[in-house]
Amino acid sequence: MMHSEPPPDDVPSGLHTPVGSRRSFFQWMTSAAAVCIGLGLSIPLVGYLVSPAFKRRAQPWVDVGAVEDLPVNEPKQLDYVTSIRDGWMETKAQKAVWAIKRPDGGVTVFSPICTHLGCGYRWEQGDHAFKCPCHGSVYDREGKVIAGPAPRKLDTLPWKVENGRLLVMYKEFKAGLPVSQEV
Amino acid sequence: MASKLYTWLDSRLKLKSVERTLLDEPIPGGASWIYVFGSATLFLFLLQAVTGMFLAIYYAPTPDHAYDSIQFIETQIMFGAFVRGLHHWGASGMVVVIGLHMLQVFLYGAYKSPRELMWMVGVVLFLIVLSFAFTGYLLPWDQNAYWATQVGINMVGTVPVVGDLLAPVLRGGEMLGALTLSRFFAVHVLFLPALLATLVMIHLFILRRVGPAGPWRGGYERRKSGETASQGREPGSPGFVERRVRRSETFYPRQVFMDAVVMLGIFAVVAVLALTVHFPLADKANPSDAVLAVAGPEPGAPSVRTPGCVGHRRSISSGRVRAAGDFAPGSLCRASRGPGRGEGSGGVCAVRLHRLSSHSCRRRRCGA
Repeated sequence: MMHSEPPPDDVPSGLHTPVGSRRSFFQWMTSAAAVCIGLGLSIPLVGYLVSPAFKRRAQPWVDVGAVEDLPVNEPKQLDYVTSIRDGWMETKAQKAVWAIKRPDGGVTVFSPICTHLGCGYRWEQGDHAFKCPCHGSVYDREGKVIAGPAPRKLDTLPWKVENGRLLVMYKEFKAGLPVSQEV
Repeated sequence: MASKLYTWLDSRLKLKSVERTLLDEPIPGGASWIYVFGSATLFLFLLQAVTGMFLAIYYAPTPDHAYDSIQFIETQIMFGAFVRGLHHWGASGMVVVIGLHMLQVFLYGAYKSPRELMWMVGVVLFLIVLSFAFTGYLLPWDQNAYWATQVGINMVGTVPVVGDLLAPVLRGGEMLGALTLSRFFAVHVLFLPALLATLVMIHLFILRRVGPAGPWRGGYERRKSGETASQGREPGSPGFVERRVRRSETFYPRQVFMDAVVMLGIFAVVAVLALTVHFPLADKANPSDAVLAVAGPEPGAPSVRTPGCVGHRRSISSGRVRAAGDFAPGSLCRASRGPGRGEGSGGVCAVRLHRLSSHSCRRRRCGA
């Protein structure tokens, strides 16, 4: 028992509550304990709750094939399989990019998604143009808009060559904007 | 602002009288540190409820994903290991505090008439908490979880008459698997919390109807004969003893203060344990790999003694886990204590134990 002071004789038996500074001390300590527990819990729990929202997915370089295999001035669709981390799951997904080798040996890699509203486009060999089937956007082999509603040229992806292999960093861009903006 | 809101609510809901009822409960004999265990248990239950809700955000109760989702919480989520640690140590703490609570009630005779119902409901609450512990243990779906649950359900199976019926019902079939995990999950996070919350309310309702039991009567009687009368008071004064026993104070503020201090202390202990004593996952549950069933270190497996891994090896091969071999039907390595240990099937075990422990050690304790 912590209670040490004897109750004064004039206090009637029965209910009795401490008054004055002792009482405010108990109040203060009780509130302090509640605040400590509250903060000690709520800060980690909020971090726990929101942390996946701020996690940037690491964008690795992906090997999409040998540079030699690319025809000059002729866009080629390069398919590759990538693994996607979805929380605790790891799934394989098939992706593709469009690459075109210039005569000087440089490469342009296009994101495979139309800048208008996010459809996949294809290369029309006869017309020498990229055509989007959804709303008829047409791009030339440089990615410039020739026709249709596309608001900007095709988005390009970072690339590099290592040991004769073309490596690409896949990104996604917001559709419908006049400038290229990464998601 | 807060007081204005309170006044606004009070004028409609008449909170003042509720507040009086809750806080001015008379505590016979006055507040005491010995009365904190009930509140401490309630606090730990709330802590378990909160951390459990947050764990459920990232947990997936299927054999395909349970283990990976816990790994994900442990490694990818900010404070994930801490929240899981709070839940883990809070669970153990809850059983400990309930033990102290029951001990106090028992020693003080607080279970006696008219409080028998409170005790009975309390015992049911205790059993529910143990059910929480049993069902929760399976959820990480690692080797420990799998084989411990195998053992637990097989123990239920040995109950006379009803065992053969109960075990498959618990398991959700013949085999410990997806059905077991999902029903244990549902029971752990839906059925038991509802049951526990209801019974806690009944427990507290009974407490308020019958009132707290008050001080240990034996102490009072000794004092009455003057043996342990306090210094500075007239020993044997009849008025003194009468007042001591009849004196009563309200729940607020002193008992609330003591409860709050103890809650903070418990939270601090659980948090420190969660931060410092890591509770690692064993390997993912594998029904065909009864590696954990090995009894003790095998003499024929020198590589088990990987430096720095001794503690871990001991933890997976002792006690609770060893029992798996006794119960797991058709397990590769029954706990063999005879001279042939380390040979024959034991040899198989040794090899597999080596694989498991060195693998686990590499990944966790030794941090290489």
